[in-house]
Amino acid sequence: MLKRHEAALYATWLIILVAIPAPLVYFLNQNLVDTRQNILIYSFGVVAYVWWLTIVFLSTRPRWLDRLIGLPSMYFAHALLGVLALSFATLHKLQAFSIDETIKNLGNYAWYLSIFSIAYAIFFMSGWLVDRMRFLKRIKNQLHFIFKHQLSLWIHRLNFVIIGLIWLHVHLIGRISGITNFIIIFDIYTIFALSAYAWHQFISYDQKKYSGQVIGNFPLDATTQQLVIKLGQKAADYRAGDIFFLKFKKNPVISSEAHPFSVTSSPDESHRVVTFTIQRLGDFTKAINRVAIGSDVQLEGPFGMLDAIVADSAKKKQPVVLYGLGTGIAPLRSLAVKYANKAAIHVIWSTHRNSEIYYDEDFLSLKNNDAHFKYDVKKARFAQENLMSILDKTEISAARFIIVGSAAIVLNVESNLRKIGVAGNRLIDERLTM
Amino acid sequence: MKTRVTLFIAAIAIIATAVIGFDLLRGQNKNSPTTTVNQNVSSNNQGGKVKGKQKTLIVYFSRREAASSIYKDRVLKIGNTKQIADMIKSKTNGVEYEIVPVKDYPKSFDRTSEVAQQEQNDNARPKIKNPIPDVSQYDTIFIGAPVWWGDYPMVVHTFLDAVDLNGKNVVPFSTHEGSGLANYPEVLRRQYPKARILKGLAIRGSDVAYSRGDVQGRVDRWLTSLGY
Repeated sequence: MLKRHEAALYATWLIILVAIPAPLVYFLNQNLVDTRQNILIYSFGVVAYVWWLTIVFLSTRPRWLDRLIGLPSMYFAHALLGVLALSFATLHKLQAFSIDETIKNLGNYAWYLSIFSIAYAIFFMSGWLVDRMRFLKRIKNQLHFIFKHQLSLWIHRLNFVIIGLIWLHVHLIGRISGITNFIIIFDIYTIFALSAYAWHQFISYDQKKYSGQVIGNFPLDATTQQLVIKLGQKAADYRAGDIFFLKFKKNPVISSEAHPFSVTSSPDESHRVVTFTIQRLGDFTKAINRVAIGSDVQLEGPFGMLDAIVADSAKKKQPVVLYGLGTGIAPLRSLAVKYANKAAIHVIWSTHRNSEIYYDEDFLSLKNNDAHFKYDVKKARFAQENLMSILDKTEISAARFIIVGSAAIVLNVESNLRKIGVAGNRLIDERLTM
Repeated sequence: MKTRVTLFIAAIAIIATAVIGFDLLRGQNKNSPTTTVNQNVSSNNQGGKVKGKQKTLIVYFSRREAASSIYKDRVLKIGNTKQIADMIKSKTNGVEYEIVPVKDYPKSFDRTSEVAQQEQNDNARPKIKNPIPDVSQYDTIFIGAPVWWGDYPMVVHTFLDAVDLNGKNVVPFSTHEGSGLANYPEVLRRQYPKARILKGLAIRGSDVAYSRGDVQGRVDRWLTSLGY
């Protein structure tokens, strides 16, 4: 990770964990006449609620925050905060007391829903468990017929019910809602987080800067589609390896939920036309081949830090190994095109089938034009001994590795790389949790 | 698009104004007891024992009817808090003073609870019917009541505002169904920064009503620990 990003990440966590809840905890402590123990118990609940709101805000993917800490860190904060908020809410729930049934029930319902919501998200939406335990992955895949991504998103939105229940719970406690400065900040936080979410969902996508049009849509192989989109005039410039969230609004052939995809093209090829390589696996991606040429598409973004990371390596003359697994090659092709002849690039591409090496010619062409460019492709995974033979000593001891692909396999590749001597702090990944 | 953005911003502005306006209005209506009490709290005024021969006053507020309405199988002849006050009186040879409001509270617990919350929201000071005792004659004052919404009932606050207990030993006790002593020590500490707030006692009302959990023994042990 870059030093600047590391500092930004620490600062972000400090702000989220301490600075944002601090005014509410301060005013509660200053104004509520109660024992220290009780105020601490109430503070646990307040902090949990503030973190819950922060989770909502992070789900709006603020681009300024992406440029500071990156989208994966933002998602990680979103997920970890959920667990932390539930822990604090549990401390509050187990120790707080109210004789009023309504207040008690509102708090209890919010807590039960939180447990369900977080357990569901950990299992179905994060890769924390399924990427590490095969039997859980199998169970998830079997249940996927019922709990489709679209349904999971709606279940995830139960978080707004939780927020509503807690909001009412607090407002009904006269001793607390009567503390004016506390309750005003409490309400401002709530309105801000919900407004940011509403803006993101209902307004932001219609801005001209997000507009685009499909100008190409063709299969690369039996399960992979290439989508070419012409960006609108006001769209922000993208960088190599960036991510856009694509949304097809009011298109009868495909769901209107936004989904993330990495760019395959490099801005050096055409900064107004962007190409995506999409594996047709889920409900959304299976329908992508039916999107007609000329369809309107909204592109939220671009997000990503891979370009900045490779640029940093190029500046330091540090070799870069771009390790793609299947369609994980997409952002790496973009980076390879941009940084060939500017940095020592080594592309490693592991595929399922021979037919999947749809960018083979591009990489061979880069290799022909750049003496330092290395390219290895294989229709299978690279075992440790394969890696030892294709990576030179400098790469093992000094190169930065960027690995993109299915989460479980990425973890496996990283384990192999560590075993042959690659330091963990030089491994950067983008995991695609299916 | 511009119209939608304008409408969105207008809607958020209206919601924010309404919510914050409501918060401010509620704050104005409530001269919160949480903000008006003396904030200069000494941290060394809790614990310890009474010293020497003490003149003791036991102030209590008890609601026999409201408590009875909770226990379906039992009608209380004496309120739970009064029972504790009587135990304190017999061990300390103190004098009892019952806080009796001018306007009686409803007989049912639920209705009493509603009135109590409204009084708390309004930071009310319900009037007391019987004359306030001359507290200057006493060295130690016990002050007990059922916990209502995490606090002393507001009629007890009326009493607390009417007397100056600085320089005296002040001992809280409560009957409750889960709140413990609630904020009682903190209320007394803030109200009387120069008083010695001694260790309080919290007893579950249902333990008193059903004579469970050796209530008498607990009260005796507590009073012994205070030096009686």
